[in-house]
Formats: sequence, C-alpha cells, structure tokens
Amino acid sequence: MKKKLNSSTIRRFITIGLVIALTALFSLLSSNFLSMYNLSELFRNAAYLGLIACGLSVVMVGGGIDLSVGGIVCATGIICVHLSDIGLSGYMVLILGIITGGAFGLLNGFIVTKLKLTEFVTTLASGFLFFGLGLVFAYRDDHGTLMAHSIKSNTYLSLGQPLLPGGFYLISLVWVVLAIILWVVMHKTELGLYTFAIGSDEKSARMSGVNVAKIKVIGFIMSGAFSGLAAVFVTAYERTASTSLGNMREFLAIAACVVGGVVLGGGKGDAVSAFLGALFLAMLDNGLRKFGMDSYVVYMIQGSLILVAIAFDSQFAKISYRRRVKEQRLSAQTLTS
Amino acid sequence: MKKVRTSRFLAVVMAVLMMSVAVFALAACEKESDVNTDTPVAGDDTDITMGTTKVDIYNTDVKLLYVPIGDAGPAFEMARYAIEDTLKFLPNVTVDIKPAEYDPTKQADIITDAIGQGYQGIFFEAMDPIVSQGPIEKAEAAGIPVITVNLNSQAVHTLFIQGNDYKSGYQAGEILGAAIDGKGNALTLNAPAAQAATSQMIPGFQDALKDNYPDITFLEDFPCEGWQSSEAANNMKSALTKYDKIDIVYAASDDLADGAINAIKEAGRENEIKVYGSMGYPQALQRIKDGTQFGSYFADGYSQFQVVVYQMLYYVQNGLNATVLGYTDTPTLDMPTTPITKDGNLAGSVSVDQVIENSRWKVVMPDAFK
Amino acid sequence: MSKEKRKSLDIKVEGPMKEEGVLLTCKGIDKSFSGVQVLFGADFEMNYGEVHALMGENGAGKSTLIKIVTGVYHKDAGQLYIDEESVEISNPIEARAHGIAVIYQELSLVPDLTVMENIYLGQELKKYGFVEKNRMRERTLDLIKKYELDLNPDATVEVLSMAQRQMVEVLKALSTNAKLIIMDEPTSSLSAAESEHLFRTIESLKKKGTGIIYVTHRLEEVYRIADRLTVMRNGEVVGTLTKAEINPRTVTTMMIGHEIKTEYDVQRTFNDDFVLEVKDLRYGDLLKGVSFTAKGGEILGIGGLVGSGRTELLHCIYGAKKPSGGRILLNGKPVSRSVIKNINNGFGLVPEDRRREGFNPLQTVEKNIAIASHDVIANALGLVYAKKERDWAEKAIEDYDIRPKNRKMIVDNMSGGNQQKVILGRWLIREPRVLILDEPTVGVDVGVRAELYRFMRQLTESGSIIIMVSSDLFELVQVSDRILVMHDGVFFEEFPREKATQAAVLMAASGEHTEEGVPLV
Repeated sequence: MKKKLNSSTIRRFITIGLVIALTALFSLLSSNFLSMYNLSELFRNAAYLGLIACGLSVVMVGGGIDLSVGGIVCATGIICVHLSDIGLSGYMVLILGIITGGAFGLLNGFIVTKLKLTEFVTTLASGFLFFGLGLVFAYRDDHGTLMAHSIKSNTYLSLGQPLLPGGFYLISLVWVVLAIILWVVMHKTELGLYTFAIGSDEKSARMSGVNVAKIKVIGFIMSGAFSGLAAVFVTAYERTASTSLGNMREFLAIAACVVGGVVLGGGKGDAVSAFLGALFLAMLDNGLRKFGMDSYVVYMIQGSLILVAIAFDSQFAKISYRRRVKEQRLSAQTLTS
Repeated sequence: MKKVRTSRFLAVVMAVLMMSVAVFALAACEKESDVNTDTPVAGDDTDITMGTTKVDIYNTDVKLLYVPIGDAGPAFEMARYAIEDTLKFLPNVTVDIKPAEYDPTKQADIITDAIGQGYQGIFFEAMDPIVSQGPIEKAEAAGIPVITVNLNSQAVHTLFIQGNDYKSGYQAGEILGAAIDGKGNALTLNAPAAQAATSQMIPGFQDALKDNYPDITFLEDFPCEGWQSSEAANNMKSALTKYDKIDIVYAASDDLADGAINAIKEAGRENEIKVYGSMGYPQALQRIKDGTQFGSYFADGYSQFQVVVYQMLYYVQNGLNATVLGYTDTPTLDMPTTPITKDGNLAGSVSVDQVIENSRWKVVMPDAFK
Repeated sequence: MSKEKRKSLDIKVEGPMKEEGVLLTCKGIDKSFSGVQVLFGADFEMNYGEVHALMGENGAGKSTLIKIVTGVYHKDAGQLYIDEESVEISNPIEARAHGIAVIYQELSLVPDLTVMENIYLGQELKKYGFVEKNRMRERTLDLIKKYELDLNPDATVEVLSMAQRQMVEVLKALSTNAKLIIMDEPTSSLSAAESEHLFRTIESLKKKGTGIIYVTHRLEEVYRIADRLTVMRNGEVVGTLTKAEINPRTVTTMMIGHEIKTEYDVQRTFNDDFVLEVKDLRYGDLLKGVSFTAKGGEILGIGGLVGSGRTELLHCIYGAKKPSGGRILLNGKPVSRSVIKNINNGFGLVPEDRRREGFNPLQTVEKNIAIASHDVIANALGLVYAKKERDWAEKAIEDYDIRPKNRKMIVDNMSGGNQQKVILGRWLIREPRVLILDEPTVGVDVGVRAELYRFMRQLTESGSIIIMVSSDLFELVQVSDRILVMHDGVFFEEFPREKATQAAVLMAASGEHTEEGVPLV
C-alpha cells in the first residue's frame, strides 16, 4: 500500500524547508556564515537552547507547559559549580547535574499531579523558586555580596571546550543524539504514545487506563533533566555560573518548540520539532547579528515569526483536517472492499 | 465559514508583516555588508603572521567593535559621542556598536560571534569577569586586540582602561569627612547586590573614613536594585526614619544620589545631610551648581573613549595584542578621577563651573543645563 | 508478566465465541442512596447474540442498574449471574474481566491518535519495551474485516464521524474480549444516516454472538434493532416485551403508568396585540423549517427528545445563535441578532446548563441578580451604585422567596432549587416580555417547582410570553397552555392543553402520531 504523507510529516518538511531557506539566505548575504568557526558557535548556541526545548517538548506534547526551565538551569548550574568545588570530576558533575535538574522536574510533577495545581501557575512559581535557590547557593564574599567564581576542575571545563581543533562542541553532539533518542521514545514506546494521548485528550486517556499522573511526572522529570544537562554544559563553557544564567530561557525554549511545530495544548510535535525550532531561532539570531542590526529589529522578527507559526498551525490544522477526512473515507472504502 | 476567512486573513496579514520586517531589516544591512566583504576575516585566516602584519590605519579600512552593557544613559551617550568625534578624522575606521542588553551571556555571545566577522579590535565593559574569559581568550588567540573599559575580565588581554572606582570612593571619603569636620554619621547607597563585586567605590569610601576620620560612625550600606533612582529614594526614606542623625551620604552613581536628594527634600532635612554622588552626570553637575548636591567626581568619559580608540588603532597598526606581546597579565591604565564641589575649595577638588565648561556634557546633553 | 499479558491478548483477537443461551441475569436487585431507594427488586435477563433495549423516563433507574452491572455501584440486595454462574462485580476492572464493556455517551477516544492506537491504548503490544505498531495494526485490520466495519486503522480519530468513533469504541471493547456491550444512548449525537451506520455495526456484532444492552429514549430505534425490550419506571422493572409485543401504545403506557391530570383551572385570555412569530426557522441540520406563533399571556411548552433541536431553537430566538434561514418577528418587527439588544428589548433566557451558562457560581446572590440589569440600575455614566444593586437584589430575594435570605450568600453554596430561583429571579425582576426557559426545573425539588410555576404564571398574567423547553413530561403537560412537540428538526404535533397527556407527548416525541394531538407534518 502506498504510504501517504500525514500532516505532521508535512509540517516537519516545512520546518526543515525554513531552516534550509534561512541557511541559503544567510550564506548568500554573509561570506562568514558557513565558516567552520561560525557553524560550530551556532550549533553550540542552538544546542543550549535546543536541549532545554527538547526536554520541554515532552511536557508540551503532553498538553502541559514548563515555565521553570530557566530557573532549573540557573539553580542546577550554580549547584554544579559547588559540586565540582568539593572535588567531584566533571563527569560526576554531569551526571549529578542531570539528576538535580530531574529532581526539580520531579518537584514540579509532584505539585501538578498530587496537589492538582495547573502547570502554568505551578511552574511559573517554581521557576521563581529555582532562581531564588540559585541566588542562595551563589558565591558571595565576606560582606555577603555576590562575587565571580571560576570553575577549577579541568574535566568539568573540558566539557565546554571544542572537540576538534576547528571547533564543534560536545554539547552539540549530545543534543543531536538525544533529540534522536527522544524521537524514538516518543514514537516507538508506550511512554511516548501515552504522552501524545494525554496531550490530545486527558480524560479519554484516563478512561483508557493510562496512568496520567505518572506520565505527567515523567514529562516534568525529562524537562528538568534536559535543562540540568544544558546547565552543566553552559557553565562549563562560561567557566562559571553567573546569576543571570538561564534568564528568560523558558520563553525562548517555548518559542523554539512552537516554531518547530509543537502545538500549545499538546498532542502534536516531538523532540525533532523542538530540535528544528531551536536550530531555526539560533540561526536567525546568529545570522541577523552579522548585520549589526538593532536588537529591537531582531526581537520584532522573532516575535512575528512565532505569531506566524501559531497562525499557520491553526490554519494548517483546519486544512489538513479536511484533507484527512477525505482520505479516511477513501482508504476505508478500499480497505474494506 | 466567515470566521475561518477572518483568521486566514489574519494569518496573511501576519505573514506580510513579517516579510516586510525581514525586507526592511535586510535592506538596512545591505550597506553594512558592502563594508564587510572588503575587510579581511581575522578569525578564518590563521595565516596572519602575528606581530609582523602592519596595517596602514589611515588608508585601509579598519573595523572595530564596541559591546556596551546597554544603549541608554549618559555614560553611553558620552562614549558614543567620543567615539564618533574621534572617528571624524579617521574616515576609514568604523566602530560597530552592539549592546549586550544587560546580559553577560549575550555579551559573550556577541564577542564570540564577532571573532569570525573580520573585526580587528574589540572593546567593552566586561559585565562578568569569568563569563567574558572564554570569548576574550578566543579573540586574543585569533590575533584580535581586546580592551576592557572600567570593568575588568579574568582573561589576560591587551589592555584594561580603568576608571578607578576605589580611588574616587577614597577621595569622596576625604572630602565629605573634611566637610563635617570629622564628626558625624555616614551611610552609602551601593550598586545592585549582584554587581557590587565589580564596583570598589564603597570600600574606598569606607577605608577613607577609617584611615582619616575615626570619629565618623558608618551607619549602613544600601544596595539599590537596577541602579534605580526610585530604589535609592526608598532606601533613603527608610534610613531617614531609622536614624535620627545622618550627616553624609555617598552614592555609587549620580542617579542614586538624585533619589536620595529627593527623599531628603521630602523629609525636610536637606540642610542636615550632604549628598555626594559619582560619575559627574550633567544633571548632577547642575544640582551641584544649584547647591542641592554636595559633590561628585568627574569621570572623563570623553577622554577615556578617545584613548580607547587611539590605543586600539596603535595595536592594529602594529599588529599587536596580548598573545603577540606575550602578556601573562593584563596591563592597566588608570584614568584620573577628579572630585567636584561647588566652589572647588576642598581637598583636591575642582569647581563645578570649571567641569561644566571643560567637559563635553554641554555638547552631548545640552538640555541638562539651563 | 508481559508474556502472560500477550498470551491473553492473543485470544482476544479471536473475538467472543458464538455461544448460545443466557449471558446475563440480574435477580431482585435493590439499591438505595442515602436512605432513598432507587431500585426495587429489579430483574433483567439477556442472551448471547441479543440486542436488549432498556427504556424508561429519567430517574426510572436504568443508569443505576447498568452501573451495578458494570461495578460502578454496589447492589444492596439481589444476585448477578454471568453464563448462569453467580458472580460478584465490585469494580469496573472486574466487570471488564467478565467481558462487560460500556460505551459511554461521551466517548473515551483520544482525537490525535489513530484508530489502531486508540484501540490498544492502555493495553499496547510490546516487545523489548518498544510498541509493536505493525502487529497492532494487523490485529486491528483483522477485527475491522471480521465485523465488516468502514474504518481505516491509520486514520486519526479526530477526522472520524461520530458513528465511526462509536465503531472504534466497539472495537476497543471487542479487543478486550467483551461479550456484553452496553450502549448508553449511543445515537443522541448522531445524524439519521450515522445512526443507520451504527445499527449495521450492531447487526454485525449480534451475528457474531455479542450481547448488547441498548439504553435509549427513542422508540423507533427499538423497533429497528431490539430483540427484546425491558421498560423501567420508578426503580422497578415494569415488564419485558418480545419483538412482536412492542408497540408504541403499550410502551408509553408502561413508561408513564397511571396518569393523574389536574383539572384545567382557569380559562386564559391571550393578548393578540403582543405576538412572537417564528417563520420557517432553520439552523444547520438541527432545525429544518420551524414555524409557530406565541401570544401574550401564553406559556408555550416545547417537547421532544434531547438532540431534536429544541435548545438550538431557543438560542436562535434569543440571538445567541445565528439561524441559517427563516425569520423571527416580535409584533411584526424582526428580532435583533444581538443578545444585548434583545435583553434591552425585554428578552430573557434561563439556560439548561445553569452552572456553565446561567450564573457565576462563585459570586454572591446580589451580584448574580444585578448582572443582567446593569442597564436599568446604572446611572448615566454607566456606574453602578452598591446601594442600588443591594435594593435590586433584596427586592428579588423578597419577591421570589430566595433562601437563605442573604444577599451576600455565594450562589455555589445554595441548594439547586434556590440557585434556580436566583437565576429565574434575575430575569423575572426585569419583567421580561419574552422569557425563554430551557429545562427550568432540573435538579429542583417538588416544593420549589410549584413556586417556580406560580412565578411563571404571574409573569404571563401581566401579558408576557414564556417559551419553555422541558424533558419532564409531567411539567410540560401541567404548566403549558399549548405544547409543540419536536421530532427530527420540525414540529411534529401540537397539543392544546386540554388534550395533552404525558403518554401522547412521549409518543409524538418518538415520531408516532397520536389521536390526541394535531399533526403538523
């Protein structure tokens, strides 16, 4: 039987098309855009945003939202620097960073499912909480004022160094691999299927015997763990955890998901959508910077793009709905005859 | 049905809007990209033989980058004016200004990005001494001289031009102490808590009191979030209710001094308390002239940025930077700090009239003086 | 664990074996809720391969009986038998294990997942932790072919028609090896063509030996598919009819029982100067050309089954929905399409779902009463004085005997009857010229009902029109001056007050002409 393209595949192609178009545009306009150096930096920046967005996409596909990812990055980053200071190697810090981020996510999930608070309010509040926690652990001098503090551990710092002499960072590689793994998880396992189910219709999923609370908690843990992972790499790259770490990252990550095709409200999109969305936004940021453009113009372009993505998705949903109704009728006839 | 059509219309409008923004943006950069293509790419061409590449700075194009913390406020205005003024006689030199929007990570990103863009020199106020480390090291390794201004970075780089916070604070202590004959109570309005580490004015002030005026009691230090004048006013109000007698107030910026003065006026205690600010912003100069503010110090932003540009051109001309010169430590150039009082009659201070006449504030922000 | 699970699923795909004989027997089931007995020794029996319809008015005990069979409620007395063996079903999971599946009115499908994914949701086939989509797909296709259904296993559910969704529900039930499928009013949201689709599915299931309990309000469906019919009334099983015995007169009599009708009290006078005319009103598939004329002083009752277009008619008149054709005239002038203008012109609506559309449950009585009258109590600048609001609310509380007599009471904390008084009072105090009521006494106890009827009568005596939709046949017959019965988007029969009986109205609502009514189609 001939396999027809479904709407998510078409949406995927559109995003890929946008990324290619943007690459073409910028490489025509700026001779430096496709240089090894620029691509390596571009992928590092995209990976920072993209790791957070990939984790967040799990929560968003499940119909939720996680506004605390910025706070998780901040708190985890600062905690990681402390962990390395007590003598742990960079690899231990990496693992503990993921666990710390996951624990923050677990807290979110616990509040949302056990105390039955909405995701929006819970994670908005816990986001502030995590930022505050970051400040509590921040390095201070004898007078109690904040001070800059460098990471000492060489293994930790090496996580933020380029892999090859020409560039290319570990975070980018990790990002690509994890996005692929997450795609498999979302489409080929029960966990992923259930996440789509609760994002699409929570009540129906519950009636079908899906443990909604468990899936939601796992989603939040994933979101937190990915943010924690991003925090480890970013602190390693910046050689410190500044208190402005992760600031506003939650909104950029949501924007990346939306541009990539994760629908607010759930049920559509996956980690690869988040991957492409983050790549697109990072590319836009990188490309526009080449032209010494004022930041307000960059903001306007980014904002318009997100609006266009949402408007497009709502229109696209209607068009593809009609198309699929027709298709279902045709194929049902051929199948049964 | 109609509903569907309206939303489709909306989508089209949005698309058109976005397109026009994009077109506008690309049109705006058309001019600049012309410049870009002619200049050599420092980051890519690793075959630059360091130290031997002499550049004729008067006849070939030179492209420099300035990454200020933000793009508002008198200090930035003055820096921009100084740079533009200097470049008037150097038609082949361009300085691109890309503000970091108060975000250290963003500042680092802009610098990292610039390394591959053919900039021959980069200067900025390092918002975070460590976050800025990586990008600076990369730039220096690529042969680009980096100059930090006022705020230093941990990375070894070509030059740090310092406004000397500590010294100005120390001078303020000496002058205010003398003004109240070494007896009374003092308090300070400090930078935001998160940035207190980078400014050394308050410690300088405290040390001056400790060293010279043992009879002056130091009451309290108030951090003021966001460098906001309103925050300073709030802090001052609580201090006024808390302490019966306050004689001198030292503020880490003239904006903070302004907030304090307003709060003191409201409480009707302006005759009792002397307020001393920092930076010598035009509004503050006017206040000193009027007698509502006791003093400030004059940070000569004009000279400072003129020095930055010429110093940078010297490095570019001779193909020098920290790597080439083999620095293991960043050399520091201290800028003078001149205390200002109304009549210039206290320990080493100059009169406000003299500053108004000789600084460029009259040209940069003429509305401040009436 | 997973191996066992898969083993059991392997059997499932075969579907229920064709078996003969008695599938389910209920004997003498009693059930009380907080001292009120709702089931009195109910007996019920059904066979394999049988479609057994269950009818009865609201509150007759159908849902309670079904919930006992599916383990949602626990019976107080009596015994259940499956395959003639005594069983205890104490929760829905046990019911499922016994092969009993329910298809609810509100379907339990996930719109963004495919047919196949929905069928196996919660019981996926897995290998090494990965979901085996191919195997699930094959099995779904087997099921679809076996029952000759019109479905594509890869279609997402959101694009399916309601009838197709019900098929997916049926398949989901069959995939768990169900031998008894309970359908609770499955056609209430289906069009005629879709219903036909569903009936064919039911026929197919029947042939394969599945037993179906079919709960419905629609007599014509019972003729069409049922092998037997059991009628319930007031918690008792009135009787079971075989296919040959089912006829409208018998069924309605069994459902209504002995009718008591109060004498027609007063001769009413209607005011010909104040007339609401509806001419050939159309709204999508739901209203297919509805016309009537209501006169001042009249309470016009509108009967019909849920989904027959009653609510849409009210909303069109009120201006909350835009009709696709036809005209609505008040005294010869077209009625506005704006709710706000209509309220100012003396219209009022008490909606069916009062919690969601009627009032703000977290506000006080005072605010809820005053909100519809801000045009009257606000001053020229549009400001509302608290005192005026208070006076207005206190008048309503006094006039309509709202209890407790506390204008600061949060409406959510009041009894259903008093909530209804609040929302009715909100409109009555404005003395509306046209008051539209949708199920005005749902959840209201008998004593308060009588009061509400009295307030309604008072309003019409001042010359206003009341249009009332009700599923409560007793209410419809007792309160209305005239009854129009809707069936399939048109007015089917009209009953003058003197001739209206509950049985006749019920029959007309099921699409059977009666002797008492005046046929309109």
